[in-house]
Amino acid sequence: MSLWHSARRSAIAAVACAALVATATPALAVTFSTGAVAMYTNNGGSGPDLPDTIPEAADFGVWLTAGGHTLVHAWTDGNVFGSDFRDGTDLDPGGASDIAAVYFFTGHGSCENPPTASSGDFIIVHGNHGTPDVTNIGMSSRWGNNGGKARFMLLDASCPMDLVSLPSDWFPGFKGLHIATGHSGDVNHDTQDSVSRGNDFAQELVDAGGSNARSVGSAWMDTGTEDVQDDVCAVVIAAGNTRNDAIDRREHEKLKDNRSAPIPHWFAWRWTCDQ
Amino acid sequence: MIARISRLGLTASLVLLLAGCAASSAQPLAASPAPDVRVQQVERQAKAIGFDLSAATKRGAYQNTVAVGGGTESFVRRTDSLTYIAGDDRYGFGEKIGVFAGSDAALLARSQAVLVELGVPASEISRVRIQHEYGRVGQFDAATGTVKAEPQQLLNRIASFRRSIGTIPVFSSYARVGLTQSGGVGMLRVHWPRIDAQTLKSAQALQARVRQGFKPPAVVGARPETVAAGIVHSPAAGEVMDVAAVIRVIYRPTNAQHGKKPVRLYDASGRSVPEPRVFLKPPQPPQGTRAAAKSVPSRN
Repeated sequence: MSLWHSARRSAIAAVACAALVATATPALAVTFSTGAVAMYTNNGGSGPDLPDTIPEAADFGVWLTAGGHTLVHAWTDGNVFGSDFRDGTDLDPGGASDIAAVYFFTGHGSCENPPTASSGDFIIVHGNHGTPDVTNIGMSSRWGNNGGKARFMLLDASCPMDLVSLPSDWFPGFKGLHIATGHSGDVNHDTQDSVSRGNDFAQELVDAGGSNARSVGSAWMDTGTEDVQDDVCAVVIAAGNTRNDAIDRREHEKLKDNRSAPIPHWFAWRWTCDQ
Repeated sequence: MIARISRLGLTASLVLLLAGCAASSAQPLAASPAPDVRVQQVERQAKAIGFDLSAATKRGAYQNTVAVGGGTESFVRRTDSLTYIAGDDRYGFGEKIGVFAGSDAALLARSQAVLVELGVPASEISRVRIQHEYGRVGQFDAATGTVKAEPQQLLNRIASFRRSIGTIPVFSSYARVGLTQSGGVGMLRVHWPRIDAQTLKSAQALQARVRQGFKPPAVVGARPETVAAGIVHSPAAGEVMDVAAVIRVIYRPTNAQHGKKPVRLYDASGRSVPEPRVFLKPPQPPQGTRAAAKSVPSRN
């Protein structure tokens, strides 16, 4: 199979040249995968479709590649399985979410009205395999265990990280995971399908275009509230061995840092809302 | 659809990239002062708004960006748009150059002055807000699933601006300014591209079309939530700057379980308008079908 479309190579080259001339020291490369689901109406799906997700993930990949990082998978539509996000099947080498250091998902999530401490956070796909399509993160997702490599779980979905339910829905999933990003909101305050948000986020994650990489947390605070409705919050969570370790990771950890996996005794989280 | 890079593929890509850079007209960022007048202009602008580039070691121009920076800070300006992206790792709560402690009014006034200094017309600033950033920390007991959390703490305040030209909203434009303890700029994202008169005129005509009762095309699994005419353009980071007048419809999923709202762009006749581009040649998702692992159950 041809690995790169010529247009993709051109776009990457244009950005990567800037990265190469701007970077004082070579970045430590990490591996990354993307999962983008646009098609939710085929095969009896209720929809709606989200056509901006696939270009968003592709652009995300362009920037990370330009930053020197290595793409593992770029799955779209039915090739993103629900099982990719569930413990036990999230190590499928064909493209699950726990086999690369960075995983960027863009597609549907689920919002409540309002969310509660026990209402759950969700990733929703429309996959060809691996039912169900809906993954309850708190109940089923565990990253970094059993040889899993995920360090950064970056979700551009819909309310996958409600502030009220972080202890039950997110903290148990950190089994070596360093940082996760997402949104908090409700059915009346939701994210919009967007190319810009993931694109601009990725640009801040890498040394490219003459700019220095920002920390993952700061990059999401800078860009996570693009194209969202009022009162939607961009949220970042970091695990740490100690209190200060968790705070330090939340504020400073970059993709290229190559830090070791935290033992998640402590969590530090940070959020900003589009008011 | 899959893109898996083999070692050979990656090596080939890097060779191509390096060859492409060498053959291009890019001016490498150099340790010595660059003669490029655009670089000098950017340095003057950074100084004028109080962004500290005193430790900058690299400066240069490439394609549509001009950049000055160093170990902790970078200041990038697009040359095809009024777009600035700047950040300093020393900026933030508890960091070396801290965060602004003055009043909200002072934060907004200073931030608005920064925007005007960079060329943003004050008359186009349509919505001004303070975006609060909070942090919290807690000790987690995995055995019981409980957390002992400390009270939330205000970490920072960011001045946030939206844009309208007259009555025309520019949906994609925004500015976000974070100030340091001393009132300098610690973080900046300004994306305020030039809008030509023809685009404005087209947007006004579309507003009239909406007032007359534009009926949004149906989207399966969603119903229209908001309909508004305005202007969209390419994102802050990218190679091209497309600008278009559109009717933007935000839809609400009818399946209440499915969040993230579809957004569609239309012309006056209800035909779809393409999303503004990011790259000259948009990356194309590779074609292919993923094989399911044995551990992954079938859909049926």
